[in-house]
Order: sequence, then structure tokens, then C-alpha cells
Amino acid sequence: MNVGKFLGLELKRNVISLPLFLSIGLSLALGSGIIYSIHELGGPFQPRNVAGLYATIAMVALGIYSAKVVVADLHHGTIYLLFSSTGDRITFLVSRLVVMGAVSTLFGIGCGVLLYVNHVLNGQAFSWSDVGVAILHYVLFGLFFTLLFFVISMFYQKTMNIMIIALVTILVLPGILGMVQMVESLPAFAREFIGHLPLYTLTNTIGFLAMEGYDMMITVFVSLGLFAFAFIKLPKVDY
Amino acid sequence: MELKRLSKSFKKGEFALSEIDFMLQRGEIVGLVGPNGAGKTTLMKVLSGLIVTYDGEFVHDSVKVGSLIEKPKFFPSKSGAYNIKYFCALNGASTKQVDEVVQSLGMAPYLKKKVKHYSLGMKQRLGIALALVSNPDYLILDEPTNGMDPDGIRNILSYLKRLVEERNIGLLISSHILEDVENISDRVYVIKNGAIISEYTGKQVERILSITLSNQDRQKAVAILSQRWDVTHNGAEVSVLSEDVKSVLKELAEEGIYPENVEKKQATLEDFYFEQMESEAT
Repeated sequence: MNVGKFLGLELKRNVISLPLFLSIGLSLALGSGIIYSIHELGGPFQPRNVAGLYATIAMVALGIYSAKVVVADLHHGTIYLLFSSTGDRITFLVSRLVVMGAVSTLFGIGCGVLLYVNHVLNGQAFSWSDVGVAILHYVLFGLFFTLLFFVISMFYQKTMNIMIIALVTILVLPGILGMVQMVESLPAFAREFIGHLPLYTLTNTIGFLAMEGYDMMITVFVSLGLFAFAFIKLPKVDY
Repeated sequence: MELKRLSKSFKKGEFALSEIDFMLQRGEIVGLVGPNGAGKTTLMKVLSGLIVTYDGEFVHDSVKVGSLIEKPKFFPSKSGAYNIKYFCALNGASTKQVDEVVQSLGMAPYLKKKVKHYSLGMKQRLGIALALVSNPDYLILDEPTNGMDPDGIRNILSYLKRLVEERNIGLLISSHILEDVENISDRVYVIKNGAIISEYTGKQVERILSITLSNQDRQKAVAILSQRWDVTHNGAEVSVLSEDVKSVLKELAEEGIYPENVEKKQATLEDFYFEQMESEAT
């Protein structure tokens, strides 16, 4: 397989995509509502609310995209044409991360643009590092969930079910974890453990771009662990 | 490519493939026939590098394998041309290299259409074209003529035969249309319950006698002839694996049975296949 061409083609196929632009557009429209509210109606909102409303659509869209990028080739069976050697399998894994890195960056840039527009129109606080923070949050989110769904797909190859698992993981699971955390009899270490799980922290902090450095480190290490596991295990998986 | 005592099980104790010995060389066409669930697809997936965990040995040089397994694979919402261009680029091949394949498969007029609007036969053609874009050393085709009209089947099979000769490709082909497999293959493996139960080379083809008998004589004739020869019967026709017409007729005449018609036939892969299936069943 020609690695460079494959990455180029995959980026083109996944990034220049109407559903992606529509979901970013929809997220922008929702975030713009808050900007409009501050500008025209004197709404009592802060930049964090702008980013928060943007994330309500962006987070779900990015989560679905993370799963879609993993399962699309399984679903169409094109994985049969791509997986004829160990090297090709690893290239495929890396390509998913490159594609999702690019897609996540676009979502992050979208959030940054919105914060900048809010600053220009409403004079609220903004620094260019906010754009970097937004991109960092979205890239961590995109890469972590892509790797998680990739690992799941190595053992469970029913594509529609993986999409459902993705939705449950992003929309329902954080709420359940939050409720579990509130159980009084839960030992402190378990509460602490849940509180730092990337599954919990990513979905809960992406809206306000408020992930702490410690949680970012955990997310990076868990993602590296998932990547290492996929890297070692993928050549030994039957398709 | 060679498999030595290769076994594969998906559930503990249930073998999808059981101690398979198999050989495919470049420049030859090998058929693979067997009932549904016999293990054909699993075997093809092993050869294509999709199934990688098994017991036994898979001996092969670093070779390129093109495959069409189960059903053709492509991006359905894209055009045929896009799919070909995509996989050509992936394999470092120019679309010009595939032009000849496209022309030979009769796909040229359909290239601009989205693949999801293709007929099954046209999807099969595209699947074959995509399997060929990497310029493979070996080609693994699982029921490639599925959904094609008789003309299409004839064209595809003759094209594949030419391809094997010109490019020195090793071709493994499976189909439930035994006549097609027999026509194209140099030899044929018969697989059942995950095991290769026999190999048909055409050399072991025997002459058979097809005898038409009246209803009242048929059971009796089968009982008599079965004592000396392999006998199968289908309706009024009784087939005897023998070319000794005199002996067969003599046996029947001694019991007062006189056939309505006797015909000499060459045993085909179909005869061989059903004989193998029946002998395995007993």
C-alpha cells in the first residue's frame, strides 16, 4: 500500500464531507445564538457559555464521526481490500488517527472562531491561547474516542451496534458515571477514579474547555495505552 | 501458496477448517467446491491474509493477493470510476493499467454511475476489477459470476483464463455452478465440513453408463448392479460407474430386466462431486 497516497485520499474523503461541514455549521449556528443574545438582547452570558452551546452539537457530532471513521470500512467490507498485510493494518490504524486529528482540529477551530467573534462583537475576554485550548480539547476528545471505538471494533465487528455503543458512551455513560459518583457509600478512591476517567472528564469538560492538566495527562496516557494495544493486537485479529 | 495441516476454529471444539493440505501455484487455476458452510470462505480468508490465527502452517513468499470474498467490496455512494481511481492510487497503479480490465469486463459504460445503483452482475465485475488493481500474484475469487447472465459468465471466465496465462497469476475460484468451475480449472478441491475430502483433476474421470428403466424394474436393477458397481439413480435414470456395457446388460438380462435406453457418458465434476458427497454421508 502506498502510505502517503492512502493518507491523502483518506483525508480528502473524510474531511471534505458534507455531513462534517453541516455538523460544524450547526454547532456554529447554536453558539452564534448565544453571541447574538449577548449582543442584541444583553444576555447574561460568558465566553464559556458560547463554547458550551457550540459543544452540545460538536461533541455528539465528533463522537459519531470517531465511530464512523472506524466502522465505515468494516461496514462496506473495503477493509478486505485494505488488510492484506500486517503493514497495511497498521497504516489503517494510523490513518484513522490522522483523519480524526484533522477532523477534531476543524471542530476546535470552529470553537475558537466563535470565541473570537464573540470578542469582536461583544468585547468579552479572548486570547489566542483560547483557540489552542479549544483545539487541544477537541483533538483529545476525537483521538481518545477513535482509539476506544477502534479497539472495540477489533473484537466486535457489528457496525451498527458499534454506532449505538458510541452514542451511549458519549451521551448516556457520563451521566451514569456522574450518578454513581454521587452514591454516598461509594469509597473515596472509587469516586476519585471515576472522576478522572477520560470517559467522564472529556464529555464533562469539553463544553467549558475546562479540562485540568492532570486529566489531560491521564487522557493522553490512556490513549497511548489504547494505541499500543491496538498496534500489537491488530495484526493478530481475524477479519 | 501452501497450507499444511491448517486448522481454524471459531468456537472451541468446532472446526471451520480441519487439517487442510492445500496448494496453489502461479499460472494455475484451482477450483474450490463444497456445500454452504463447508469452509470455502474461511479458507479463502486465510489465503487472503484476513484470517491470521490458526493452527498449522501457511507457507507463502511475500506475495500480493487480490480477492473478492463473499460479496464485492467498495464505497457504494461513489461512482465506479472513483472506486477504481481510489484503489489504483492506493496501490500505486495508474488507472490506465486498469483500463484493459475495465474494457474486458464490459464496465466502461457504467463507470460514472454510483455503485449502489449497479446490478449484482455489475457489482461483481467491479469487485473483480478492484481485486486486480494491485497487480496481484494470486487472485482469490469467491463466486465471481454470481448474478451474471450467461453471456457475462462466459466472458468473465474466458477473461480470467486469459489473465492467468498472460500475467502468470495463481487463481483460486469457488462457485456453486460446477460446470463453470470444471471448465476453467486445472484441478478442483472438494471441501466438506471444513476438510478437503478429495481433489478432482479430471484424470480420474471415469466412463459411466446412463440406463433408463421402467418403474417396476428400477429398484431391482439398482439392487443387482450395486453389488458390483457404484450406482446412483435419479428418476427413471440409473447411472452405473462402468464402461463395460456388456457386463452390465448381461447382469440385468439374467434377471429378466431389459433397459429402455442405454447411453455412455463421461463422468463430470458434478458426478464426481455428488459421488464424494454421498460417500462422505455414508
